[in-house]
Amino acid sequence: MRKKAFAYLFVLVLAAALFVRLYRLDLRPMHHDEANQAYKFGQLLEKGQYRYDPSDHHGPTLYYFSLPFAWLSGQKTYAELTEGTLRGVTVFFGLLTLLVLLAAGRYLSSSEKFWAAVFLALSPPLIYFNRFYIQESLFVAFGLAFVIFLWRFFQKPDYKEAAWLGISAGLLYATKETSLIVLATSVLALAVVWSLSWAKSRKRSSHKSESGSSQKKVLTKIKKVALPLALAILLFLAVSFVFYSSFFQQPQGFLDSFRAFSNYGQKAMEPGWHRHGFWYYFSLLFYHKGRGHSPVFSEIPFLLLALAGVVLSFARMSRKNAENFRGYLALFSLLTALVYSAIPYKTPWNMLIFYAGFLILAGIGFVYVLELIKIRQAKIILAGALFFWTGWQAYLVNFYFHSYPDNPYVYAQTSPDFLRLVARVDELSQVAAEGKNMFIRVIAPPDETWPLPWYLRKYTQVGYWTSNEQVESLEPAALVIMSAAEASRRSEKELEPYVTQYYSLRPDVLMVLLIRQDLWENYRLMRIGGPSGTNGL
Amino acid sequence: MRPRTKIPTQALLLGSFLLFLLASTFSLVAQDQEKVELKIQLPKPMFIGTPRNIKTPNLEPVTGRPRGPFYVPKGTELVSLKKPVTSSDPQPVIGELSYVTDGEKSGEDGYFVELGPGPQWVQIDLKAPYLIQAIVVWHYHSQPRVYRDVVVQVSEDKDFVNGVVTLFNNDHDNTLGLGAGRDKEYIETYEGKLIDGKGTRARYVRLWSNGNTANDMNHYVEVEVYGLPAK
Repeated sequence: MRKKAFAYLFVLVLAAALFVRLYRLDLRPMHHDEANQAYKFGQLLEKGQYRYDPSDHHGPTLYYFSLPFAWLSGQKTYAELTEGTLRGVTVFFGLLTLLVLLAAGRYLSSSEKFWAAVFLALSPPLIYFNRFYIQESLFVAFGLAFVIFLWRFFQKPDYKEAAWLGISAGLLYATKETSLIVLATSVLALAVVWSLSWAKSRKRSSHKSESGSSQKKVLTKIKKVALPLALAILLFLAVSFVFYSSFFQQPQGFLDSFRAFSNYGQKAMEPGWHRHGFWYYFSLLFYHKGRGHSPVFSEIPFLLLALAGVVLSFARMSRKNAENFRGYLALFSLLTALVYSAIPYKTPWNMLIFYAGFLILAGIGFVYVLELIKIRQAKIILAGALFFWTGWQAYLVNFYFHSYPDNPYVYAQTSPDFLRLVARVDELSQVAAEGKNMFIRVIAPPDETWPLPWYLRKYTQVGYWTSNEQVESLEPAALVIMSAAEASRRSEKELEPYVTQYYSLRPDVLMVLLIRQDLWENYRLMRIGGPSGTNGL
Repeated sequence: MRPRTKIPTQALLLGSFLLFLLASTFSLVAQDQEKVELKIQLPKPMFIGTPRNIKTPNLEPVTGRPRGPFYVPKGTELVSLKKPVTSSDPQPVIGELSYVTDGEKSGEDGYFVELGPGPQWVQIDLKAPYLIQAIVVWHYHSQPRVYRDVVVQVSEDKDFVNGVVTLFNNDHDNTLGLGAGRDKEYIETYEGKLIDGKGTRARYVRLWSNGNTANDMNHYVEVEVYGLPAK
């Protein structure tokens, strides 16, 4: 592929990736985790406050990189933030993942980079989680950058490459403490590939070389690498310190990030309701069918191409180390997939880092398949079929089943019905004398509270109680939002002054909206324009 | 020694009273000046990690209490079994309209009929007028759901123009245009929803709904109508 053609095509792919990621960005209701992250970012935006919490929520890069997006949107408070602004951050890092491919330089051909970019751009799960305000999009972008820069550094260990390596490692670690897995598997993959090529070259030249000169060579190389490597480590520490210490305000945060290992380690092995079997990630990707007339969700074509890419990469392992990037990438992806699959704690977004690797390998595999096919029309038909399949799947995953459990990537997702509750509260506030200052009680355990704090962010008098015991009387709240279980524990007499309506928070999780009678009557008069009791009886 | 000046008792009493009055006034004024707006510190939301991803169709009734007994006149019998069913959606997406009166009440797949999104109705023709004592409705009970704008009407007119009696209506804001109801919304359970027929004479039973908390579709596993033959 010629340079100019590659450049044009790559820009086209970026534009397509941007379009499918930005289109109706607020379509899916905010997920529990997104609302958590949004609340944390809101504190940083409004008060300039952030303190790393080693028990949950991962690293701080998501919040700090969200700041320019909020500033550019002219949003200065948590209440002013929108889904578009927040998810715009992760969309940006989704595009950065594609751009990171360019860093592979001569280690991948232009055609391989192009097809890898196409597959990453149109991948249904990648699009889905790039439109999701959690750390994963940043993690994938920094993770792939680290994998590529690690390879580049060991091919050319100078200060420039060391800087890239250190910065990408620092950003990766400051995004998620669990990046240790990626750091470990990429170093292991590098070591294995280097050993294999060294063994190959040694076998070939063993009869020629002398042990003395060989040792000298190794020593010289170590000396050459030592200082740039020290710089990379220094930059890694510096970047991660800057973020974890909240830009030097909370130095303790940096140490806390190491203390978090035991917490995340325990969570990984004792995952509670997030325990899934070894094949969980592959079962999501391979074949998934929901209930009833739900369509099939599958990434089979890309998994097969990735398999071809893996086989090809290993088959083409050379004694020249510089030619083994594909093998390194394949080994990294496989090892990471293996480690993530072995960890009992699983959520669908965790597979993104190794699936992105598989998609690059699918690009490598597809270029090989295209080379095998000699008929031009057949190539076009094959590429067209792939485009059609991934386009159809991307539509189903992101725009049709975006919040429904038939979709394999939907996990503890807020139901679209929940937006009806939000709309009803909004309508009621328009007829309430206090408007957005009306008193709202939320009585629900924390796992049934979110994303309410996001949707009620513009209301000034909202209180959150986690159980009934903390609330003696529901009155004088204009509205009470309760988990169905908490509502069932209140006596009928207590519920009497309220009109009761149900809404779905998530599949199988119902919330009850209690509306004070006088407020409901006002609303009815506004909406229906008639007196109460006209029930057609 | 200087002689003491004698102060009359009345003057002392009056003086004390005036002093008390003055002090009270000052104290009240001071209190009034110190009044501040009472600001209630409302509790903030608490964090928790990713919640449970529930997909299993295990019904856990939220209210948990079984329905109490419901009394009907002697001779009341099930009069809807295998009776013809029509609908606002004559071509259901899943299942068949006959499922509504086929006597199968299982919550599993294959036992419910799915009607299109938005307001939809099903209508049972009892083939003869009955004094309706009770109607029991199972929309979908393998998941805790609430169906919206549930309205149950009976009539002797198959077009529901004349002599329509509404037995149940929880369409609070009159979305269906049948009049705003005051009955409560309810969570679907394996027990179904029992509606008092009040001995209303009718041949046709029409049940409305308008989507549910899980999606916009309308479902029926079974509807049972209990009555006495009308003389």
